[in-house]
Amino acid sequence: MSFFDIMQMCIRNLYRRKGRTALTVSGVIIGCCAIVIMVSLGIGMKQAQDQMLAQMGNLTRITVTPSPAKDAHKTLLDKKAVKQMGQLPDVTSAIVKNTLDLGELQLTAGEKNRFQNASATIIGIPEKDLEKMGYTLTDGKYPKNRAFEVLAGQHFAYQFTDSRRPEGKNVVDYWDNEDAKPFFKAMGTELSVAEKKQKKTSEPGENQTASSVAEWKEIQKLKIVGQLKENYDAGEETGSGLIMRLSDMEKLQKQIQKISGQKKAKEYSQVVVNVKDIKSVEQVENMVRQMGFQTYSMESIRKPMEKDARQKQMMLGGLGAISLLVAAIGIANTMIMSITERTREIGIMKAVGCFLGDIRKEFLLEAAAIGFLGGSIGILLSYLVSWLMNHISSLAPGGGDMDMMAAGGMDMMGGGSTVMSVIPLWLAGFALLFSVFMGVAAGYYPANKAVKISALEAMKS
Amino acid sequence: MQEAMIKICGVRKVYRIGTEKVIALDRIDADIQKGEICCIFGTSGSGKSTLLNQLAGMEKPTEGKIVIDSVDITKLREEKMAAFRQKHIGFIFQSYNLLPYMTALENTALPLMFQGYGKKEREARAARLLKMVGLGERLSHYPSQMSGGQQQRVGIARAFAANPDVIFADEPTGNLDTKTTAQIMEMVLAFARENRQTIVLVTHDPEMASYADRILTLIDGNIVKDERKDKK
Repeated sequence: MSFFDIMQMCIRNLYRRKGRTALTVSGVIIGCCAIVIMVSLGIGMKQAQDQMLAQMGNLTRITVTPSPAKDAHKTLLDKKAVKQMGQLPDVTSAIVKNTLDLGELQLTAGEKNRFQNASATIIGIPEKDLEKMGYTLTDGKYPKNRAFEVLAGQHFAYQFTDSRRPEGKNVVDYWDNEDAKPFFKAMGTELSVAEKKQKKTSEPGENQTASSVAEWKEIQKLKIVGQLKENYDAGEETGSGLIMRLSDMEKLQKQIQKISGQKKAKEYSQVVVNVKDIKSVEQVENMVRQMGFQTYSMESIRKPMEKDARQKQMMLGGLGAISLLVAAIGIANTMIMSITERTREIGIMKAVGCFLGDIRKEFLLEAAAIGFLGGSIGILLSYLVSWLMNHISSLAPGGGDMDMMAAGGMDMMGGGSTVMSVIPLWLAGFALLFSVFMGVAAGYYPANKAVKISALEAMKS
Repeated sequence: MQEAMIKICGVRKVYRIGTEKVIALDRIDADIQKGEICCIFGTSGSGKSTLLNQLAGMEKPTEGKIVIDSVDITKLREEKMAAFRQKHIGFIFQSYNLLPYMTALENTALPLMFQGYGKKEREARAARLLKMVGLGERLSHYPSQMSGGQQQRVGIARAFAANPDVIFADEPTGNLDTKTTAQIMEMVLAFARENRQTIVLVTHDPEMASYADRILTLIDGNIVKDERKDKK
């Protein structure tokens, strides 16, 4: 018996009992739809979570800081340690990110040091690593040629106070007013690292204008050659900080130490370790900790969230699986009914010389066809339901995604809104395959039962 | 003398019903020649249906062997038996046993379909056979749209479809009136004689037995009489 004939017979038998076939198929549709929607919700949840985490920071980045221990034997976060970290498995780079302590010094700009900034974050990064930090230049270029060329964060210029304006009006409030222009344009500006020398005045009334009478001793000129786009993922220095080459910073540090009498720092304040993929983060982080340093990464947040998501996914999938199981029982029941009804026909087929294998195939194919039909329609329906759910959830802004919005933080939500339900192609394919497989499995017992029918008994009835 | 088509050697069949043994066939020995029209005659309970079932390979005898066309069918497994049946055995049933969801044409072509013949080939042959039994106009009728006689003619066409060596007919006209019975029997005999096919006819009706060349009379599981009619 050719496969085509078996198939034709199977279609005919299913069609002959349209009502029952339709009911059984609808059972599978519901089961398939349930499992697909449930899993798709899980996937949607996971995606939203990943998106949120990505907004919170780079997932493959470990920030290393020195051990807080005060004893003399602790491992120092120095050049040697950085080199060691760079050689750990799965580490793509270990980059020094030193912070300059200005001490009593200030950054000034403009004519006669008119604009002043006493609390600037100044970061030093080795020249060769500057371009690996993931910064985005909006203007200018990376420092290359001359010494003491620096990069400024997006809002760097807003950090200055204008000493010629009265208190209360001497800063530009860009938090509340995004359109506000800073006092000067950062790009191309020459800054000074300067020491403020208070002039001794006898008149007490003149204290208010002390700054205007202050004298400045310039220690080092800095030239802003590039401006960065703010990106907390790359580092908060891209916001209001200043970035210079580590070599320049070390020279500057020496000058500052001469003036303030600070001791030479033995350690870097921070090292950034980039890891190849998320999976290795935990392992690398542990190794760095064992070296004796403090670490921070998104892993500590991601891990429990991932576990939670997996649990929810399992629960959702389990609920779907139950309905599919019920559908499977439905298929088995339908097939058994069908066999009881068709006992006589099976007997005739046997007597006329039908191979047992062909009878078995015919029944298995019928069950598989029910699974396939239910699966296909179920998947189409799932896409529809999924689309509806996403549509409705996006109509009610915030709705279920409220907490994520909050955690995602402020204005960084930018890239695409999250969806509730996601049906990737593999899920659709898997659901279809699973429905067919389930049909075959459910049809197995009935098919064997059909094969065992005695032709003799069947003909008597 | 040529080898017999069907050789029945010491066949015995015992059923166990609860703790009691029922001897359906005591000891049957017989040879049936190729081209012979042989009738197994007996009242109900004589064991004639049991014997037919053994001969057709539907059941295995408790003892003894049955050789059809040099193949011992008592030793065939079910799958091999199906293949053997396809090639060598045709059936005509009392209750026609057509598949209700298939047309006359498809029912006739069924044995060929099981053998794996293509649709065109098998339906061409089925159509020819149906024309021969006088149903050329009813190829696409379903069994429910035909009379008993017509259904049985489809049954005959089906039995001959694969051109088997042996055809077993179990009370083939039991449900038909006298006139139709005569038509049907003439048809079967004509077919069989044409290709020198062996017919094993099982009946309790002496009228029917008269169509045969040879009558084996069964009583209580034993052959008590073996008469041959002289061929014309």
